[in-house]
Amino acid sequence: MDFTPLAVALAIGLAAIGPGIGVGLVGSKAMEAMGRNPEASGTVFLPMIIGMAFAEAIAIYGLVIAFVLVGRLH
Amino acid sequence: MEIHVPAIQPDEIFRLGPLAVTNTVLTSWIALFVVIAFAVAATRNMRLVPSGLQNLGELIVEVLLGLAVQVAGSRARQFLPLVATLFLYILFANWIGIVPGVGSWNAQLPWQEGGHIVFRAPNSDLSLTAAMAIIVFFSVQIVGIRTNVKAYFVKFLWPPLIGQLEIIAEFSRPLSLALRLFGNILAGFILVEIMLQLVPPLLPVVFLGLELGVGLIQALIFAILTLAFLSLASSHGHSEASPEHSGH
Repeated sequence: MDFTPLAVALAIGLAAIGPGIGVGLVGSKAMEAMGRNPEASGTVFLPMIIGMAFAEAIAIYGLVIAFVLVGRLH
Repeated sequence: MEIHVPAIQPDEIFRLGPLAVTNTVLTSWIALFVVIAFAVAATRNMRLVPSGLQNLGELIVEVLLGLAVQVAGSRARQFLPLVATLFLYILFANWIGIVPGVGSWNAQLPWQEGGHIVFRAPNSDLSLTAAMAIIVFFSVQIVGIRTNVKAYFVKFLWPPLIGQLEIIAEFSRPLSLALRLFGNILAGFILVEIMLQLVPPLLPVVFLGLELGVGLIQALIFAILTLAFLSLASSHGHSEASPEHSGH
């Protein structure tokens, strides 16, 4: 029985859980900081984007695995 | 309904001797040409008071330098050529993937059987992103060695176990750089390809718009991370230069 389709789904599905929470945390802290101190919005914005890209990269690793597996389907 | 998922491996368009020129390499040449042409045009007949293209070029450099100073402090100028070049090239390479025809124009060239996509976003090819990551890797090592030869090697030896982990860290950074950029751009490319088969023609436009933002952010991330690694490598042995705190 071929488990590859299941593997593809699990690879990206599970890989997205952690980064999803991570990006949400970064965003929420950034929003909080900007709300407390609107003047610092410019200073907070760029590091927020960088932090989100870091967290998202982990999900991208899972996505690459999923793509590789899709290429091997039957 | 059969959905065709494009291959990760880019198609070969022609060969130059033993080297295969793929559709991604071809498109990267176009992006390179645009960046170089702009640079040449902007630095032709330079005046003290800039105008036209030189003005635009200076604006770009000033903005990038401002950003770099926030990350690397006083060493920003030293690293700016590499970092800014990476940023501009990756930005153009990513955005050229959105141009109509790139990723969608299938043609059958006279010397091939079957149709191939003729132009494809350069960074959707792991070879290209890995090449840039390798350049960054060697740059970081060289900067580290030049800053303080003894401290550079001691870093991998002491403390006993953590030092050895440092080696893994040194290799994992360029790996993650390459995979991050590759994964993001490839994901965008495959997404648009699949959308074109599912819901043409309006939904793909939304994802192309997303590609615009993703391309910019990933170029920024690659450049800023490179700058951060270089800054880190050049600060061993002295105290880290703290970024300016300006109250804009």
